[in-house]
Amino acid sequence: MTELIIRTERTDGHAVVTVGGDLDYDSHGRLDDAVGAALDDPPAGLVVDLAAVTYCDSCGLRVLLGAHRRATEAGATFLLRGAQGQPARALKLTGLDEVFG
Amino acid sequence: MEGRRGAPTRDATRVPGPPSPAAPVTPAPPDGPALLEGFEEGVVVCDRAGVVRAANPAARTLLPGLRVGEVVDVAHCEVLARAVRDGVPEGFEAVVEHPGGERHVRGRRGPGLGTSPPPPEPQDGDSTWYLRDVTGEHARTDTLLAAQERAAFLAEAGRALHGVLHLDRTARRVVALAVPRLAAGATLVLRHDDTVTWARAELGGGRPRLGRVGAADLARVPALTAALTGDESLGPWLADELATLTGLGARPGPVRACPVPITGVVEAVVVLADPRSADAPARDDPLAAAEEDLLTSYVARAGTALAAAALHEEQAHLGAVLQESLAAPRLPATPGIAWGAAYRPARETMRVGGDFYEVAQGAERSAFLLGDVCGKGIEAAVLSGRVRQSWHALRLLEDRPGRLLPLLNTALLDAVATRDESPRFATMVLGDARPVGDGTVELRLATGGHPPPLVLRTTGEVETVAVSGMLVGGIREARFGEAEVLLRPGDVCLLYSDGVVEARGPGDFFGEERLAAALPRCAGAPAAVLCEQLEQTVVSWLDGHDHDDVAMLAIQAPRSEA
Repeated sequence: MTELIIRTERTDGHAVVTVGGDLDYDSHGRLDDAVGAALDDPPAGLVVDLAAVTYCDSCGLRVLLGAHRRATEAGATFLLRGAQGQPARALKLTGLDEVFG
Repeated sequence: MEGRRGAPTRDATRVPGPPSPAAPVTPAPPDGPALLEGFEEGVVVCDRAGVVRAANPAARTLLPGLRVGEVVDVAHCEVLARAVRDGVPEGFEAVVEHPGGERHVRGRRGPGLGTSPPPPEPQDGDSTWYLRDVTGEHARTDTLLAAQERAAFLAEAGRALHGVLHLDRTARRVVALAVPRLAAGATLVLRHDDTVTWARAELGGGRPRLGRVGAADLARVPALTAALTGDESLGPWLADELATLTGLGARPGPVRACPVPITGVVEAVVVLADPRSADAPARDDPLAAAEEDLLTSYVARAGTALAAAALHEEQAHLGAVLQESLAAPRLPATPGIAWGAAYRPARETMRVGGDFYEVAQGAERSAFLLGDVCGKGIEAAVLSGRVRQSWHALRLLEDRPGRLLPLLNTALLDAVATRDESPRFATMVLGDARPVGDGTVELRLATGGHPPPLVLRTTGEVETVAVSGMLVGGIREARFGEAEVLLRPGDVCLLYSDGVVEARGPGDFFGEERLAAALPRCAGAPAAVLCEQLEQTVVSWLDGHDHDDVAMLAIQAPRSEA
């Protein structure tokens, strides 16, 4: 198990949440909180970078789906990027890669 | 300070007593040197015979009736009289009757006033005594001790009630703790769902008794019912009503209802018989106020413990019911179809996992479902229950898998939307199987966000069913793929949850490749055996590591009996 690491940066009105490690049942709440914090002051766009995520289970997918919904409601664009390996497979399997475009 | 009370003027009350032979004859000052007059401490000088030779105002205030020239006797102060007469002890404490009540006086033997300042003609054998009013000190000590005792009682109550998590046991302890510290008897009445539980402890009554009546019986005890909801106004009837409710005799004497503050779950009231804290404590009586505080704290602790126990029982019950309703279903014996399944819920989640499967045998087509909801425990159980029930209902209206899945998607989305829940979705493969009659079985499948089924031919060949779709219940405009598969005798179609391929051993995920590689060894084996062997393979891969739920469902066209 790799600990989840989350970093949020703001540039040019965009909030970029960079995530690393295992995004699973135990850790998904932290990403949910980070997304909520990033949207508190709605940015023009929310970017979630999954490049360093090693594992993403259904709870992780749920947070991402929720982030997409909340960003849209807050009037922000949503972009998911960088997923590789198992997280990329999980996104493809569930069709979420299409949803997040 | 106390020593100053009384008349600082000298001798207004002095009554001349019979002259003692050893009495000083010095006319002034009559009670001692002026120096001693202002002492806060009482000073008494006695001669060998016990006659008071000098006493300052403080001493006379402390020991009323003490007269210079008179013998210190028992009436003045027994201990002092004895100490003077016998020469011992060095110090004493005595309770002295004063018109305003008792005062505690502490005395110590002084060094003698032989030198400076000179009392009236100090003589050999005189003894000097310093007296101090320690009533305040005593009161403070008593208050402190009482406060400590109350704190200890509450701490003990907290310990005894903490973590019992069993409603009846908690109820018994609540009343047992109250007796005798708070009252001579205590009865707890607790309404929980449709049941009323009472527990009673009495001084010398042995182990607390416990009983139960139906909630309907509360109609016979209106005062108690009112007390349960926090209304204490009907006190006078409580004793009789308790006797009615418990079937135990009413105890004579005052009773007091203490509604237990609990939110939700349960309602409770403790009825104290002969309480130490009366209904309306005098405001200016700190002891009574402290007792009242103690009672309030105790009742609050009881409330916390009862609520925790009730909640825990409710959850345990809920867990048990859920577990029962969500336990992996028995596989039917379907003519022309062989079923196999394996289910291994993740550890530590009450054995209620997010994976599920269902098989519903039909006359022509038998429907099946294998899926996975996000999360674990109760939350996952509720969602998977919703998915299963929706599936069971909707498949009666629409049996084509490719149409059933969108219906299920809408049903789940609507259920979430009406509750304003965060996204809750499932991934699944569903379908049905129809024995064609020549030993083959025709499958119709649809998937949403789930690993595609695998088909193991009797030759050992493994095919991935080319079908995919989006997760179910997450997106309104989701699309789902469907496929048809023909199983020849001995062929198996395997549905599995991602817990299988995402089983993480010491190094890596188990993965689709290893799963596909493990299958050929089971070629031709009955579906049930295949599932069992695969489960074993996954478990050995885990090598003792934690895992997510693992579920498998195998559908097989049985080999002909021949």
